[in-house]
Amino acid sequence: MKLIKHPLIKQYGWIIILSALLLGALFLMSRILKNAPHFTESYIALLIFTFIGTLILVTLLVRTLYKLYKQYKQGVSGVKTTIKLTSTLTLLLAFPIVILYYFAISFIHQGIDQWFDVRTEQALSDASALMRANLDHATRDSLNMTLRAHSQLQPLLTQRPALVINELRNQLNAQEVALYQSNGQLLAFSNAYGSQILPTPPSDALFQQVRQRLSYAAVETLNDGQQDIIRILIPVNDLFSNQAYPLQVVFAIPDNITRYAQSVRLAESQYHELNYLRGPLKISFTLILSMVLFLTLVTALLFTVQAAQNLTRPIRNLVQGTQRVAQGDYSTKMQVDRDDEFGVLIQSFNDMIQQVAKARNDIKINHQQTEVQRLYFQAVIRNLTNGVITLDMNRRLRTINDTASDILGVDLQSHVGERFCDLMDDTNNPHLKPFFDAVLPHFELDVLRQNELKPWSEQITLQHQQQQRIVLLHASTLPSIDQKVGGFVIVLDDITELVQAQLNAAWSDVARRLAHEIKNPLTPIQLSAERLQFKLAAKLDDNDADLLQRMTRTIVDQVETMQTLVQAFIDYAHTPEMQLRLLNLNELILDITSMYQSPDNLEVIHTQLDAQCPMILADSARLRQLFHNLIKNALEATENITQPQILISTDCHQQADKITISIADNGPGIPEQALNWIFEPYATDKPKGTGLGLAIVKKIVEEHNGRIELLNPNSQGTCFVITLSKLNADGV
Amino acid sequence: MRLRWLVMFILALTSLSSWSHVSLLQISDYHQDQQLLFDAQLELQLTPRIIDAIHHEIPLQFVTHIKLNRRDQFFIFPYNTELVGIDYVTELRYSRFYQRYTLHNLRNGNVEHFNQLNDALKTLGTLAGFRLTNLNQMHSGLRYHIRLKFELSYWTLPAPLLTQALIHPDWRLSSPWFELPVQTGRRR
Repeated sequence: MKLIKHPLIKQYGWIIILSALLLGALFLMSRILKNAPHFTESYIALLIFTFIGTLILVTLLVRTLYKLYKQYKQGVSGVKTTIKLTSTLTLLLAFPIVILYYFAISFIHQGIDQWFDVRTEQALSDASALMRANLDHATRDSLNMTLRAHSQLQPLLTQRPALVINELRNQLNAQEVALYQSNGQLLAFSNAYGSQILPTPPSDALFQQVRQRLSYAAVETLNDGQQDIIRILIPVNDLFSNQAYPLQVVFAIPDNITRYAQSVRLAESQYHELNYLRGPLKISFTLILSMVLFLTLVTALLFTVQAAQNLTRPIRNLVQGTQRVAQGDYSTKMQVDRDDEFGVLIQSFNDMIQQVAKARNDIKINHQQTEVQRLYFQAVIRNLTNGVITLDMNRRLRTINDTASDILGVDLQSHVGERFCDLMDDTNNPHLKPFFDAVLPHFELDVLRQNELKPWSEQITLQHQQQQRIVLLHASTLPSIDQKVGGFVIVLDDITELVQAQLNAAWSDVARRLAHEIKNPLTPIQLSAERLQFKLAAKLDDNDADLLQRMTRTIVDQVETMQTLVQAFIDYAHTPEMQLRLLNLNELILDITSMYQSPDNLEVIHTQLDAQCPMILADSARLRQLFHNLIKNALEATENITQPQILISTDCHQQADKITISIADNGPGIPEQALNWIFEPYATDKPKGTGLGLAIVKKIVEEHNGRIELLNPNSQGTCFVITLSKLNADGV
Repeated sequence: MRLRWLVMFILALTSLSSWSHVSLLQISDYHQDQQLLFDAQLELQLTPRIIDAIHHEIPLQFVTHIKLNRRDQFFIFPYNTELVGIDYVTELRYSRFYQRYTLHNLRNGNVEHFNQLNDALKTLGTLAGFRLTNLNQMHSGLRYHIRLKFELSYWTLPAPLLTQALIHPDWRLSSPWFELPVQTGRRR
C-alpha cells in the first residue's frame, strides 16, 4: 500500500503498467504474426485489448491536455512553462521516433519481400518437382511390377489366392498385398509385419473405380503424414465369374524418401502460404508498428506532460508564493519536499521571505515610531504661537502650522507640496510680497554658500485686510543625511501686539510726563493771567485795558485748552483699576444717546439694539467714555452732512460667544492711508481735538478684552465695530 | 467469451452481404430405425480471394451448426427449446505437392482427397443421413425445427489474414439459418 501511494507510482504507475501491457500485447501479436499458430486465437483478443488500451491512453491524454487547456485559460502559474516544455520534449522525441518508424516500416517491407527470393522459390519448385517425379516414377514402377506379377499369377490369384498372395508380396517386395471381392470383402492378404495386422481397405470410391476395370496408383500418406506409401489397386479378372477382384498392393516408401518428401512439401507449403500472406503480413506489421509508434508517442506525451508538471510544480509553488508575498502575505512558507536544487531554491525563498518579513516588521515599527515622532512634532508645531514653515530642497512646502497661515493670511495647508515661489506668483497674495522679498534671497544657492548656512532674522510688515502685521522672521537650513542642506525652516513671530504695547507704553509714559510737567504750571499761569487782569485793568486806559483783557483771555483760553489736552493725556495714560459690574449694555447705550438728542437733532442718532443681549460684566464709566468718544467723533464727522445719520446697533447672534456693537455714520469716512495710525495716540487730522479719542477707545476696548475694527473704509461713512466677549456676562 | 461475442456481432453485421455465397439446394428429414435423420445439400460459392488462399495452401476451417429445436409457448410468448445442438468443423486444405484437395472432418476424423475443388466443396456441402436424435425424445403434436447454418471460421485463419478478414467482406462466408419444420408421426 505504501508503494502504491508513492507519488511516482501514483503519477506514472498506471501509465507504465498500461503501456507495458500494451507493448506486451503488441509483442505477442508480432510473434503470432511471425510464427506462433497456437496463439492465433488470441490474436484478435490482443488486437482488441490493444485498441482499448490505446483508447484509454488517448482518453488519458485528452483529459490531460484538456486540464492543461483549462489551466492555461485560468492563468494557472507554471502552465505556460509546462506547455513549452511538453511541446519541446515531444517534438524532440517525436522527430527521431517518426524517422525510426519510417525506416522500420521500410526495413520490414524489404525484409518480408526478401523472404520471397526468386531463386528460393525456383529451388523449392524444382525440389518439389524432383520429389514428385521421383515418387511418380516409383509409383509407375510399382504399378508396372504389380501388373507384370498379376499377369504371371492371374489364374492362381482367383483360384487359390491364399497360396499365391504371399508369394506375390515377396515377388513385389511390397509391404502389404490384399485381394478383395468386388463387394469389398477381404479374400486374402499378406503383410510384411505378419498376419495379425489387417490391411487398410481402400475407399468405396476406389472399389467403385476397380469395378469399372480401372487401376489406381498413387502415393498416399498415412499416420498423419508420418509415413508415405504407394497404393496400387488393380482389377483381377475372374474368367469364370467375369468379376473384377480388387487387388491392393501397398509399397512402403523408404523413410528417408518420405522424410525428404515431407520436408520439401512442408517447405513449399509454408513458402506458398507465406507468399500469399506477404501483403497481409506487411499490413499487420505496419499496423503493429503504427500502434507501437502511436503508443510510444501518446505515452511519451503523457510522461512528458507529467514530468513537465513535476518539474514546474516547485516553480508554480514559488510563483504562488511570490504572488502571496506580493499581496502582502509575508507569513507564506512553502513546504520543502525535495532534496534537489529546487528544494534549495524553495528553502532559500522561505529564508528570504522570513528576512523580508522581519525587515518589513522592523521598518513598520520604525515607521510607526517615526510617525509618532512626526505627530508629536506636528502637535508641538501646531500648538506653537509662532508660525512655522518648512521647505524641502526644491523649495516645496512640506510642513505648515495654522499660526503661519494666520500670520501670513493664506491657507498654506492647501498648498503643501507646491513650490514656495508659486505662492508669490499667485495674484491673490499680493500682500506676501514683503515676505518673499525678505525670504527668497536667503534661499539662493549662492547666498547659501556664502552665508555658510547660518540662520538669519528679519522683521517685515505685512498689510492685509486693513490690518498691519509686524512679523519677525527667523530662518535656518534643515540638516540632511546625504546632503548638506535638507531643506529650510522659517519661523514667523507676530510681534504686532508687542510693538503696539511698546508704543502704548511709550505714549503712556509721554502722557504721564506731560501731565506731570505741564499740568502743574497751568493753574498758576491761569491764575496769574486772571490776577493781572484783575490788578491792571483799572489802571490802564481803555485801549490798553482792552488789549490786556484780550491777552489774558487768550492766555486763559489756551491754558484751558492745554488743561483739556493734559486731561486727555492723563486719561490715556491713566489706567485706573477696572470697576467691573453687571450692566445692561442696551440701557447704557440708550442712556448715552439720549444725552445727545436735542430737539434739533432728534433724527440724527438712531439705535438698533438686540433685545436678547445678556448683561455683561464691564466698567460702566469706561464704556461711557468709549461711547462718548465714538458718538462725539461721529457727530463731528457728520457736521457738514445735510442729513446726518448715526446708527448704534448691538448684535448677540452674529458670533456665538461675542457681542458686537457697531457705531456707523454717513460722514465722509476715513481715508485708507489713515487706517494704519487711526488708533494711535495723537493721530488726528482734525483742527480741533487731542488726537487721543480713538486711542482711548481702543485702550478701553482692550481693557475689556475686546476688539475694535474699522469696516468698509472705502465706502460712504465710517463704521466702528466693537466685539466684546460674552464671558464678561458670565462674570468670568 | 464476451469479447468473442462482441466481435461476432460486429462480423455478423458486416457479413450480411455474404449470405448469398452459401445457398441451400435441398434439405429433407426422414426416420430410420427410430432415429430422426436428415439430408442436406448446400452450394458453396467461394470468393476468388478465398480460393486464392486455398491454392496458397492456407488451411480453412468451416463450421456447420445443426440444431433441433422444439417450439414452445408460455402464455402468448413463443420460445424455442434446443433439443440437439451440434457444431462440427471441417478443414479444407490444398497440397500443391500432391496437387489435391483434402477434407478433414475434425469431428469424426474422416479424411478425403479430391483432385477438383468443386468436388471437395460439393462433399463439404453435403450432409447425408445425419442422425439427429431418437424419435422417443420427440412428442407427437409438437412442432420441431431443424436448423442449419454453415460458415467459414475466421478465428482459425492465420493471424495476418485474420486482420484482413475482419476488414474485407470477401471473407464473410456465412449462411443464414436454414430451417426445416419437422413433425413427429409423419414422414416428410
